[in-house]
Amino acid sequence: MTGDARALVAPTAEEVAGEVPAGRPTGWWGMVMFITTEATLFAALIASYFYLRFQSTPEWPLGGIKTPELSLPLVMSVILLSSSAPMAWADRGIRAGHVGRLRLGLAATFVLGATFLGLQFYEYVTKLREFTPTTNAYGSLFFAITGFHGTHVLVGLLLILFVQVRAWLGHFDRTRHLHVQTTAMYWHFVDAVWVVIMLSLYIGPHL
Amino acid sequence: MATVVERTQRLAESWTEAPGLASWFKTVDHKKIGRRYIWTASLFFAMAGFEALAMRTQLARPEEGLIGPGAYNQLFTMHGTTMIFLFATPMLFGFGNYFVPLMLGARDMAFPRLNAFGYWVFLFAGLLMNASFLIGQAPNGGWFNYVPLTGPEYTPEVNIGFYTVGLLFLGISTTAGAINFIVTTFKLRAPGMSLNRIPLFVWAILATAFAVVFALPALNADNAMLLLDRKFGFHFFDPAMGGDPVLWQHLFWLFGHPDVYIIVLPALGIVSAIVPVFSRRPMVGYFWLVLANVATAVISFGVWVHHMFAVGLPQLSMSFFSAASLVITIPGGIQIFAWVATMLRGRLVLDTPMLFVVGFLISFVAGGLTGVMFAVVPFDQQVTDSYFVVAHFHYVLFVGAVFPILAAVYYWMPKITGRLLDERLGKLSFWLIFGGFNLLFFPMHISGLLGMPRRVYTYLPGLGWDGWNLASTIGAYLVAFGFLATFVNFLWSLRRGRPAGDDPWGGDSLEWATSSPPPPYNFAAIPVVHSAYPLWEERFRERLDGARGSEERQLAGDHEVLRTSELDATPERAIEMPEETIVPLVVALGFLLAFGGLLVSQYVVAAAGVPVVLAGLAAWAWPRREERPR
Amino acid sequence: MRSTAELRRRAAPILLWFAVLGGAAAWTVHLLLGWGLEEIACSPVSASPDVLGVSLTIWIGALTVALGAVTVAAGLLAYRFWRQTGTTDPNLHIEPGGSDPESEEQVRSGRTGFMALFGLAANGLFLLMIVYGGVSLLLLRPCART
Repeated sequence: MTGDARALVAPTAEEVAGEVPAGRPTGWWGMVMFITTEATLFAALIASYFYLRFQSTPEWPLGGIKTPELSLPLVMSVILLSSSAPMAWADRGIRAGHVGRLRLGLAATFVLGATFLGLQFYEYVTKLREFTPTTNAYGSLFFAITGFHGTHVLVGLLLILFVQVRAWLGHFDRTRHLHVQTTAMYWHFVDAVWVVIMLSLYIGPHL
Repeated sequence: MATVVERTQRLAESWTEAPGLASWFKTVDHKKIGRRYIWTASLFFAMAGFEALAMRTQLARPEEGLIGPGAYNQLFTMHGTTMIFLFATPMLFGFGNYFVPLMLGARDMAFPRLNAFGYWVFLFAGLLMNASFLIGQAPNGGWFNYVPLTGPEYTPEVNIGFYTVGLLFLGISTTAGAINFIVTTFKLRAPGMSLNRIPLFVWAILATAFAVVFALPALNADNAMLLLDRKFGFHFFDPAMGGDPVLWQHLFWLFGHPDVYIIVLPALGIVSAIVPVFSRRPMVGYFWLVLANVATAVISFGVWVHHMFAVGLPQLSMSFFSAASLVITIPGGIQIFAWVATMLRGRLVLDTPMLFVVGFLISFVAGGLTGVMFAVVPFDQQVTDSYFVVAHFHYVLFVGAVFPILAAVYYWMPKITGRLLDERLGKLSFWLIFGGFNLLFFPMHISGLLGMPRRVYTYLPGLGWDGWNLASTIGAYLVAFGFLATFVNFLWSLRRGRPAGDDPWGGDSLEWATSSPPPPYNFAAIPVVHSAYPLWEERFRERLDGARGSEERQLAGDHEVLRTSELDATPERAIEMPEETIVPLVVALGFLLAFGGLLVSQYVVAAAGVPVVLAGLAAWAWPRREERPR
Repeated sequence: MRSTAELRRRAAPILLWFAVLGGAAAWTVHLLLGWGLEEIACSPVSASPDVLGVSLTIWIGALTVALGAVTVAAGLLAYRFWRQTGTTDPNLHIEPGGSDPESEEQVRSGRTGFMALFGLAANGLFLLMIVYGGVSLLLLRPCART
């Protein structure tokens, strides 16, 4: 096998010159760039979280606030992350021309995403009894970061709704589906950000 | 079979926007939008220029008494903020908007409606921020707006609100513009224009656009957090509650240092466009210039702490940033060497555009040298917050941005208006500005080393600063007259300038392959290129004219552009561009409602903006009849 | 089961991108992790300049060596790919005077050589910065402040 491995690192000039990336539509690149800039924004917020965390007293969260309980956020994570599956299925479906799969997949994604937001609302109601954004910097960070993410989920739901309406109006087929693809990309991005938030804000303090 | 004449007619029809006032609000033509950016940025430049003149007049003599401290704080804050955010980048994006599609051989930007939207947001955000003067409450915390001075405790008034909300709003425009430039450069290049044949100005814009995509979020996060602290009682920057004022600085400079390259790189791109033409030869070291542009943009993200050397950070962490700050001078130097080598090995033509380039080369190197001095931590800590800093950044920013912009005015305006500017008046303007600039800013190195702090509204006599300040003020007025000369020259040229024709300078890039000004469709046939200097290729013009005979090359369908592949620019397919529409303006107005309402704490108004934006976006994304499956 | 040839064809352009951007990525990680670890170790609330029980010097030294190695690897690949395109001219097909009978292959090889040389030079710059950052370790005490 090492012979093969070495062969992989020794391609011919013609192979190296293969054009990658190539053939992507302008809208695809537009969404990639938009996701890049939004990802950087989340990165700045998470970096600020860690910056303030390690500047402070070893006690974290601050001010006697309890370390976040994990059961509800874990359920939320399962729901949100699993929603990427019907989204991908819908995306792949319309590429093969199956409008039915598109509509069903979008609907399932929507339900899961909306459930996530509903649970997050419930989580907020519970948490707000203990601390608010104005309690201290921890409170500010927690609500700002999860709230910003939640807003992105809401925008994602609106996008899915919009694409769903158009799917029912017959706007998509096996050759025209760019907006489904870009919506799916956005949705997967929102899911990925949640993983980072989960690890940083929820699981992190327990370590 | 349609004939060439019929196809050309269809081309003109599908690309010409309807005349009249409605069209003015609905245009999506990159050339019109580019001109608007240039006009609006010029207006903001004039405002910021007058702010500077006011400050210089106040500082001409010790204890002048013309302007009080409160007003002075607003002047220096708005001078910097306006110059950086509302003049430099928009002006360069304006030239980019006009010339990037032309240089690429394309008929428009990749996202024409996003382009229009970006302009409206820029206009509204700029007006919003400057409206603060009407109530005498312009931002007054300096252009980098440090907390805790600008926090809720020390500046509860609305001044800082104009800053945070205004920049959050403006950031949408800058980011939209950057994404547009990136996608246009990736996908709309003329066939044959592989990566190693892209014009250097376009490379500069591309590097800048990527820097914007990664840098603006840091500023937006910063401003959002400050807004939350100020308006809603959050505690990001409040040390008593676990926050940290230094966090503002880190995020700000994480944006701020790349921002100075966001300003300078496109200007250096203009220099790269002009030098080969006025040296009558291809650029020496095209490859090295591409490397330098991209490397500068990337490394610029690793030097931000050099703005914080006096904050008391650990030495080891400062050393990371000192290392990168020293290395970033290497690509900067490479650019200078490449230009100088080209000039030395060519036949120099010293018309006004090239004069500004030569003036730029001399003074920019001076500014770069003082920059290297700042990379050395002990020196930095001695001169921090003194006039030495003011001298340095004006040498790099004024020289680095304004000189190339003036060169571009003389070089590219003839393409835009069809008329050349007057050479003698141009030369007069150059000498007034070059001489005036050096008289204005050189003495600041000295007064800075003699201890004069920046941002002071007055100073005591007998400190050894008087003469230097007076000299600076005289220089400022000379510079002002120099700009007046160029402005008069421009107006004069509109009526009496010599007709430019397609190619007054013997240029090398594709914008010179079409008329001045270009027709709405830019090129009658899509050009094919075989080098980085298409117009200097053998028989290029003949081949382009001949291409009109081919239906494929003329691409006279409904408002079509040619999409090509990302790396090698092989043709992919024709794509249809949107027609003029009011939707981008509506969405921009929706955002204005949202941000304006937020600024004045009228949350119902702010909330009303949201459905406007959403409805506008839905209309934007709604497919045209032709885009739907049958 | 994809054949090695098929895998190689798909992997090759990605290797080229690694040759172009590997150093930049390595330097970014070096900067962020190095600075981040330093801030954590030297923060006012940290008991000692150790992170997770390992001294800061060792952390940053290890980072410098590892990421420097990645940059060198990217540089070597870039050099190999550049030699493979068979030209030493960095301008690569951009001299004016070109005319239509130019093959797609020529365009692609010119572009590839351009990318490879770019990677070579860029990786050199980034290696320089990684080494500078690491060298400062030898000269400065871990959490000294001025």
